[in-house]
Amino acid sequence: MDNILTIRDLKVAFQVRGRDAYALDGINIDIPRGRIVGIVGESGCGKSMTAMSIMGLIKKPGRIVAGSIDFCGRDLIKIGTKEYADIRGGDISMIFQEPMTSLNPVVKVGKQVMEAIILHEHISKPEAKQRVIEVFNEVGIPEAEKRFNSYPHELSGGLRQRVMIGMAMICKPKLLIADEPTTALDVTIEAQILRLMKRLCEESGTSIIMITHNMGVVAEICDYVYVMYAGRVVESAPTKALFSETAHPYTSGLLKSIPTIGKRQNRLYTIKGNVPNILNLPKGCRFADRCDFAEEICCSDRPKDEYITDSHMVSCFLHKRIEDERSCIKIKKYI
Amino acid sequence: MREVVLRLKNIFKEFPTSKKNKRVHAVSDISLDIYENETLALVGESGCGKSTLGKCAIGLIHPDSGESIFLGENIYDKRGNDLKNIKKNLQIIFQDPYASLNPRMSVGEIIAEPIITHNKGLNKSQIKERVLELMEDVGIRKEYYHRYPHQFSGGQRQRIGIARAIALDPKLIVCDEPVSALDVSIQSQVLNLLKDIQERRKASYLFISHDLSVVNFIADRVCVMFLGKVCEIGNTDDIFEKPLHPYTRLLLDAVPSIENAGKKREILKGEIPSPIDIPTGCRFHTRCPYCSEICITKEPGLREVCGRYMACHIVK
Repeated sequence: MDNILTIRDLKVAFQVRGRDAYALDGINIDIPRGRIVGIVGESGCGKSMTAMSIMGLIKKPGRIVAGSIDFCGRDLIKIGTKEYADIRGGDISMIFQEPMTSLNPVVKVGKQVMEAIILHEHISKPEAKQRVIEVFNEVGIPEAEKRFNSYPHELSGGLRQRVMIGMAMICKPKLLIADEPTTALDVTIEAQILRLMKRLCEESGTSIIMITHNMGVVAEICDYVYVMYAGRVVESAPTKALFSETAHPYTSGLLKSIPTIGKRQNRLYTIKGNVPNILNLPKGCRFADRCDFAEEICCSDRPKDEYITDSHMVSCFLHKRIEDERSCIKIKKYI
Repeated sequence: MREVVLRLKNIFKEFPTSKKNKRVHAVSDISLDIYENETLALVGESGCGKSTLGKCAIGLIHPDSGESIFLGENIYDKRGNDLKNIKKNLQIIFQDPYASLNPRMSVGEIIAEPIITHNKGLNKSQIKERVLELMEDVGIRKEYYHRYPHQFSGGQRQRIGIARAIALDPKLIVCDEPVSALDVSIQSQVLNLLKDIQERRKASYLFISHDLSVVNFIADRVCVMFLGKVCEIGNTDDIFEKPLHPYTRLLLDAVPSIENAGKKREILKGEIPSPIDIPTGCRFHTRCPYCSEICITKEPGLREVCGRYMACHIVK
């Protein structure tokens, strides 16, 4: 399949007290054309750092120390500032989590969206305004013409997020990065926004990177998922396979610790301990000290990326055992 | 029949806006009973008045009218020492564990504060002993007694908030979105802890949350709110298995989940109406797919259907 974005062995480090602390430690990610790819993990695992690297927005003291980000044949790490400015908001655009803080509170929303298209397509103001109103209609903003002149505080959270999506989509990007786009929204509004994003992806052929911590959101709209932990990708698979053939203990722990609607549970499964600090990372597998299965080798060596099937990658020494355990449970169900 | 710990009667609360004759109708005529050793969950979208009702229940804010009856007495009538004795039994855990702990007090001081305020007779070593017990109860290591909030992770801070809330053995704890700021793996630890504490200490929880899967796990009864009104209230299992009110049904349907992925869902149209200009009749009628004429003109009252209470003209 042709990939629109290929990340290879990307490393991002921060200088802290004279030492390099790796926020991203050699990640590989492929984004196929016209698909929605999820990146999940807990806070501090490097999800947003990945997005920022693609956008070229890593701020000092952070820096990309190794790897490549190949976007349509160009390595984004090597291109200049001016070229990057053309890509940002044009071919690659981004939606942020908090729609209130990412819109300018003293500029009318219509004008803010117009800015993007005037910058990238050099069209006249009336034309641009027409396009903005079209886009507002497309993303489901009622009374688009009236809303053009609204200020962000006059809109609800759901509408603001629609404006953000409109702004991101107006130049018909090839890649859209959505960083927790629905986390700040109510479930009913979240459902609307997810449906909208799926529709836009299907209609315009835009690839979407969906960064989230919510497995439900992943199940709902993603085609393929990367699970990250402490700056590494620990498992990646097509969405269905990830849920039915879970191979990494961290993924399976995450899935087990979410309460399920319609199931009476007395206690929830818990992953012991906390996410490690990137200044003080375990030597071998970074999940080893929280893992129920960990053995000596897990604490001393870094596990390699292994492919269980063509598209299902797991980075764990003991994944076979977890698979065996899972099939035992399956067999028990039949007996 | 179980004993009622706290009875809320016809609570009304409005807030003024910058415009003279416009007011935010946060809570309109809500009556609830919270029984001993139960968890009652308040669910609904943002702006529906869940937190306002929770704060009214324990007297953190006073409603415009209505009563909150604890042990036969209205807490809003109490002043001075009487009020202090009542408040000892009504505690709260806040949503944001970063904002709700004083950054200049050590963990020991934070947990000791309610004990010192309410037990004048205890000496220093007795207080410290109580604090250490509480820290052990919530799973914070004793060595951390002298540490400050910024030295802890979000989950640990929430544990400190919980220790502070249970320090006086309260009868009722209002949990205002206690896990929504936490990561999934930490969320399950804190939820288990809340359940353990309830088993050990026999407290009641008024659990405010917008996350329905969390509510499904922890609550015995659920109260679904929409724009300051109760839509439906009943046992958790009943409501999650067979939601009756159209709003409850659509709310449950909207939750993205692994089990229902890809299934066709009915999606609630539009947004929650402004609590300043409340729709006439049933407050939900502007978004309701089953809306008929009576819904626009007449406000439905709560009635008993299938072992629960629900406010809807249409559903039989």
